[in-house]
Amino acid sequence: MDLFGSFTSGLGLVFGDEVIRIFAMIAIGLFFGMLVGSLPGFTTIMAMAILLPFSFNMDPLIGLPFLIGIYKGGIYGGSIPAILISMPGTGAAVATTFDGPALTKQGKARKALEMGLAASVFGDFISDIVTIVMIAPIAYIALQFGPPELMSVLILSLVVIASTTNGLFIKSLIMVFIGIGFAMIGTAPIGLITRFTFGWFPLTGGIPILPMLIGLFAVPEIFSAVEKRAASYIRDKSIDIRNTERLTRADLRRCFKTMCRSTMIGTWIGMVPGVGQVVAAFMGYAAAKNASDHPETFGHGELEGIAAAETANNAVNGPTMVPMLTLGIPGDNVTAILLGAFMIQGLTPGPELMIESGPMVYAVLISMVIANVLFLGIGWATIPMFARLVTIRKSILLPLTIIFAFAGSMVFHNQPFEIIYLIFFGVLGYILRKLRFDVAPLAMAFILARPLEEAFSQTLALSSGEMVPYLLTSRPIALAFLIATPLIAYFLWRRSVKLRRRMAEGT
Amino acid sequence: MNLRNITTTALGAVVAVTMTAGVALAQGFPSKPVEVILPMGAGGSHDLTGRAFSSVMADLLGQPMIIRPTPGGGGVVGQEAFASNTDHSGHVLLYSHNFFDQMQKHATDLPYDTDDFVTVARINFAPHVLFSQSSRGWTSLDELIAAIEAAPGTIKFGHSGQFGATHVPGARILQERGVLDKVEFVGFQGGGPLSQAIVTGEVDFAIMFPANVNRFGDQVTALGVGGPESLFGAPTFSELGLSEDLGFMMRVVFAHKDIPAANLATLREAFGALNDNRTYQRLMSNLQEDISSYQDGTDYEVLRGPQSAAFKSLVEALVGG
Repeated sequence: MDLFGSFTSGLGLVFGDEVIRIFAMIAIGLFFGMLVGSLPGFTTIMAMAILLPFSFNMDPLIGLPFLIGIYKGGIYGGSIPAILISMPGTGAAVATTFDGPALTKQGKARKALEMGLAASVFGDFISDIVTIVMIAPIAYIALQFGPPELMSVLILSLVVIASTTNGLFIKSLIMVFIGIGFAMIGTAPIGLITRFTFGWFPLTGGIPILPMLIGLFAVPEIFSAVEKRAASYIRDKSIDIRNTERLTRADLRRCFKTMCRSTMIGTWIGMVPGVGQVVAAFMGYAAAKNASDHPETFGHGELEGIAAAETANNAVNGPTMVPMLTLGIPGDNVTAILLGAFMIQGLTPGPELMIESGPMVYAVLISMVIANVLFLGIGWATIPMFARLVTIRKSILLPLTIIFAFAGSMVFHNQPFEIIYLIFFGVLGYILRKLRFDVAPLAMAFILARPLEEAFSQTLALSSGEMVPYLLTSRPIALAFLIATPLIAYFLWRRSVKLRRRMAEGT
Repeated sequence: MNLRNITTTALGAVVAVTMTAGVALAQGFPSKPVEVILPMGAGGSHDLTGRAFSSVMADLLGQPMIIRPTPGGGGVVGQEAFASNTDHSGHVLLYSHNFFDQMQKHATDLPYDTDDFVTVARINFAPHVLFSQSSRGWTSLDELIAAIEAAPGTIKFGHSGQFGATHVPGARILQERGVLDKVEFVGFQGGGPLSQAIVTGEVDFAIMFPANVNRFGDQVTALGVGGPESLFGAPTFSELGLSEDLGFMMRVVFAHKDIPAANLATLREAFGALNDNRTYQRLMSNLQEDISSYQDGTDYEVLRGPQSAAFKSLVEALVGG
């Protein structure tokens, strides 16, 4: 059967006898995904791993879309605490904390959440359609990215991240190096060598990501809210969040270009196995800030900032599925779980799957598109509930946030020493904020340093120790990225200098 | 299963999982959900086989079983989380493998002693498959070795982690054939990234398991397999004159050695009934995982000592060589 024939048969499967059950299970998956994703400490991966066994007894046509619902809902759910209480549950939501909490403090939590939802759905929807139409080219592109290419993309990403955030470029670079330093602690990605643990066992596994993110981003927010002694988390308590400051068509029109740009960035990054949503969100944000006529508003409650990050991190979802479906290669942990879900349903992803079960593959991809439509409806209906959370008195909200922070840090691994990390990074984040350092490059460098180290050592082994000649003669894509990196760094540095000059002149 | 049932079950699961520290509802063992620590990440073959047996264990044991992935430190973090847990009643178990159990301690200092673990059951074992890229044209182990000797330092062996389940057997084979120092080792974190390196042709040969090798189809040529039976048309390691003390990854469920004897017997009985469960049979078959190699904990305990001795000599030889 050709690809078009498989597609039409896939359509027939989805809109056949099981249509209501498929829609219902996607909706249930979305709801649970959003619920679990919005709880600090729970991630999309955890939600999928917990709920995976419930798909075992379902027909593949129902069980797989159910898991896809959890996947999509979970990623959006992660942006909710990021926007409301600056608590990113995953690296993908870090870029959302740049503008989300600032909007919340201005009494625009609902608008920010609606923007996040609209952007997520837009990015996801377009990238899913691109995936369906371009499945073969995407599979081809994915195969061009081995360890050397991944290494060069990660180096470029770190440079972009360092130059995207607020403040001096040199300060961001310092944060990047500190982040890399923290990532070096523990067992090396390749090998059993432990480093910088100072004989303290809990450091053997490295610093866990959740206590670090919650500590760096949420704890300083709590301290500063206490410092300001405002009556409510929202500065102007006269704003009635239920009725005012909704997302308008004008907002959507203003952000449309940004969303299109971020969709393109996210879709491209999704094709590269192992890079994922974290890089996409930052690249989308960086591109929006650089293209903007008013970059100085980014980081201070700019709606476009949320649109850029949330569109890009969701646009990764569709293309990421392609290497898993067509080659049997999972690009990240979520697709690894989906690969297992396919296998346990008796469908083995790989080239044979497209030939033997092409309609089923397309049915799953089509259900991803449907999930987006349902996602919009369910998200829209639940936003008022979440938005109202931050209208409660600070004397209640702040202790609640502290409980979320502590519980979120250790809820899944149940390791008491994770609380120590939370406190350490909370205090560090607070001090850095007082010294006017932006902690985002630190967190991002921490997340990307280990895959970078792994890709670097693999490249070294693949080149038999002769990396430069190897890159020059055998890896043109990696070489192109490496050459582009200093040029892009220079361009971004020039822009940030101009911006600071403009702000100093008050124009 | 109708929609209402599924919804109810899913709701129940969320409640159960978020309330794992729940109050014991009944006397006897198990009196609350049984937690299984997995010293690896979610989504791998251990996670999936774990979820296959845990999904039916409520029927066999009378309490739900919850898999808790605790990755990090090449398995050390999860194993330590199990070893340091003070609940020795059998409500906390470990689902690991023979390399973490008996080999790692010879390769690095561990903050726990795996002799404190006692086997509940060996779920199965997976034989190693040594294979090369078909495009390289090597159809036997001898041809691969000849190619390595002809161009030392240029041929690349891919594995899924230092001193892990595919690194050590590969190193052992190369050592026995006298070419260990003539091969470039390229390590990946787990089977997924290694699979990609195989599909893209980054590595020349590797060791993985039958389910993985199936997915590669004609792209790879099997050169040898662990275990007593030939697979993919390749001879067994013993037929190739290689030692037989490696060649398998054993998937094993452990309890703490201080578990009350009656509780251990209850667990062993429940696991012993797994192979008769049709849902379990179907799930394992879909995962292309063998269930005939199931072994009772008492029998597997006998194998651990000799395994440790074999691993010890191997690691010493590798580190020394």
